[in-house]
Amino acid sequence: MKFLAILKDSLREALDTKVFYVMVGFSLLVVLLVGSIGYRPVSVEEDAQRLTDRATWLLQNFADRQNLKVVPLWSIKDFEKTQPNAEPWNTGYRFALTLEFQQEEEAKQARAVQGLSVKQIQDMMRGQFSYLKDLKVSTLPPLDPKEIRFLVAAEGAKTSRARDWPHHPVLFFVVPLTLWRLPIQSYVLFWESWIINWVGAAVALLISSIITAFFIPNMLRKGTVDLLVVKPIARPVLLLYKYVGGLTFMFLNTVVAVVGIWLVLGLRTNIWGMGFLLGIFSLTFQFALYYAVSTLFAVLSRSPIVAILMTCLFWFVFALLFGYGYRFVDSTRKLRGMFEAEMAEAQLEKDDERRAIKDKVPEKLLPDSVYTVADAIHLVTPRLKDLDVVTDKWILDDLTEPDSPQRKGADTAYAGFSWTEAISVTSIYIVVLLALSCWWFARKDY
Amino acid sequence: MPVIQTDNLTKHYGSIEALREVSLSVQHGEIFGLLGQNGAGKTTLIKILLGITKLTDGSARLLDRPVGTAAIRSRVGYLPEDHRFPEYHTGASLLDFYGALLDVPRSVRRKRIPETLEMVGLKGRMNYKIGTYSKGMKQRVGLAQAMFHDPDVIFLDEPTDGVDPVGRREIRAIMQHLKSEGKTIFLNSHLLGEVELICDRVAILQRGEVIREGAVSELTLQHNQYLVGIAPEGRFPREDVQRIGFSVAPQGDLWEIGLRDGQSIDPVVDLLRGRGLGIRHLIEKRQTLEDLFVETVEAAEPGVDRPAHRARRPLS
Ligand SMILES: Nc1ncnc2c1ncn2[C@@H]1O[C@H](COP(=O)(O)OP(=O)(O)OP(=O)(O)O)[C@@H](O)[C@H]1O
Ligand SMILES: [Mg+2]
Repeated sequence: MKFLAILKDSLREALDTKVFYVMVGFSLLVVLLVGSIGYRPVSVEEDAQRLTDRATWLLQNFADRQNLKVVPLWSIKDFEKTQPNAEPWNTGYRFALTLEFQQEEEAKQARAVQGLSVKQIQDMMRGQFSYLKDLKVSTLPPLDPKEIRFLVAAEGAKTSRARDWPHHPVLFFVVPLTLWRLPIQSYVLFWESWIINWVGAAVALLISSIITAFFIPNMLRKGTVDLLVVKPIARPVLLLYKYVGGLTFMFLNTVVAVVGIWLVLGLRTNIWGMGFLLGIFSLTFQFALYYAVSTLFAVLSRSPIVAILMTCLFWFVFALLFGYGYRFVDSTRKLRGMFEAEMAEAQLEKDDERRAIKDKVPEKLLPDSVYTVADAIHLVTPRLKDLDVVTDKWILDDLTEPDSPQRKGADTAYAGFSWTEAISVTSIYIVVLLALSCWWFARKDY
Repeated sequence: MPVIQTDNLTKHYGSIEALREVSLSVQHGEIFGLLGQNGAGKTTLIKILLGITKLTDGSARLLDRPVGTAAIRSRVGYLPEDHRFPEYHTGASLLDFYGALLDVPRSVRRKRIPETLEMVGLKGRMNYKIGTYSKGMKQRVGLAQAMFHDPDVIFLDEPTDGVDPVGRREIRAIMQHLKSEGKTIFLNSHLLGEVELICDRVAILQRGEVIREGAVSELTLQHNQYLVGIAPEGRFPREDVQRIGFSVAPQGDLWEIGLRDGQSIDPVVDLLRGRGLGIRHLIEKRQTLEDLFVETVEAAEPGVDRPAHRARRPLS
């Protein structure tokens, strides 16, 4: 009951100082931003149109430079879906591609090298319509002596799922950004992984740390703290309640932000991966550590500014320097292996020149002692970045195919991850920081 | 069993000796006043009793438990001197919050909040934020929260600070009321007139040491001094009284009669009655607490009697 009283008091403070509105408002703003972007399936007809427009434009503008004398006009005719009412990924396509020349003679000459052209055109079409299955190009008898006519036909799409079909983002419901044409799950991945898990998490943690940094120093102000420590509640308990109160705020706010983003993304894309929701716990756990740092310095200095600065410093040292630093150092451990893998992927094993280089590539980038030191530091520092590995893995499991390179990368990172180690080392930090705070608070004269 | 008991209580703040071997005891149902100059250690003593500050040496007990015991604090009320109540609370919500921390059940809180705030004259403003209260109103809220949970002992550190004269009288009445309910009140104040009116016993603290302690009535009594007044028709027989061995001095309309040790005032009364004079006043003369305080404090510090020096004396 005392805990609820303290929580209610913190809530009252947060509401009165508008902190609560700022926090939730910020989250809702992000939700709104994510929700303001829609996704429209790429239309094959528009795509084909765009292709021919571009081809014509290129030819007209660069004909001189290429010493081309004949400049045909490309166009699409008789476009049809084999299943007119089906979704774009559930139907086959057929259409005619025509090249119109100014002179009959030019057309005739071009037709003479047709054998080559069909192959070229087919490659070009397959490049453009990479999402269509078994696209074939064949010649059609011309309807006009000045033209060359091809039939382009595809049985269907490579995928039968909307999420794999390319989509354009549509800003604020109306402005399509046709430059981007990615499977819809790539956008979800972009939002969930890159924006929320990386940039968003850092910003959200920073803002939350700043906002919640005021609670404890305010409680410890002269004239206020006296009134609390004379209540029949042990000082460490009072401090811990206050800490858990701040954490609860952050948790609720994270729930608003993450669930909100998950909802709008789901409504927009119909992809409802659960992995992203698990990020709530990883974020809250990370924040528990930052807030413990903030609490310690709040108790030591009674100044919110000091608490904020020290939390930022902690973040900088442990998350940035040690976290990313260790990831980098760790990745150089198998330098030669990486090189080999790359060669295998590009099928260059038989390339003698490369093999020669490979033998010169050292096994590791750095001397062994550096790795020993890095491992030792990593063992005893809080695992902020480790938890990102987990969140990443959860998100990628929902959004990528098992054999995609991103997924493989995440799996490798996750394989080297130890739950017990990450949770226990970070928890020990939290416990030690809180114990120090409580000890100091309990023995201090106010 | 005393409610408050300290034995050779000593407190150092670094090199500052805030309290030196203070031994005091306060009995149940008393209003006890602690007097002293700025920096004498009054607030420090209260803070030690409440466990806000730790003692350096000696011992202190509150309600028969060592100070600092969390459990007994629900039986203690406290109004600090430079309080700063969270401004986001209203008078009512502050009492509710503190009440919850003090284990007052919700139903009791709901009933007592308007009652208590009415006692301190704040009922009309109880749902306004404390940030909008005047200084005296904040003081009243402070008093309200100190007595809200029906504590056995109440510590008031300068409760009338910033309160207008009418309000001060109300606060005195509240203290009397609390006393009548059997509560023990420990009061720090500079307003000696007030302390004199309300306290049963006082102690004077000087540089961390108790230099005087006792019942107010005893401390202010001036032995062997009486004030006598007679009915206006008569003339006071000054020479005759002097002749029978008393010193006489006019004191406004009254006469101050000085007795030697062992002497009684009765011969004077007999003489006046024998002359057929009507006696209208006969009072054993008292000192004001203020006189006593200044006298005691100066006596404890010989050589610092000149005001210029006093002003420069560091408060330590
Ligand atoms: N937290 C502290 N740290 C260091 N010294 C302190 C602290 N609190 C009080 N003191 C010192 O202890 C001495 C007693 O202070 P205290 O506040 O008890 O005086 P006081 O009698 O209440 O004075 P006032 O009438 O001005 O309220 C002073 O010299 C003061 O400077
Ligand atoms: Mg004081």
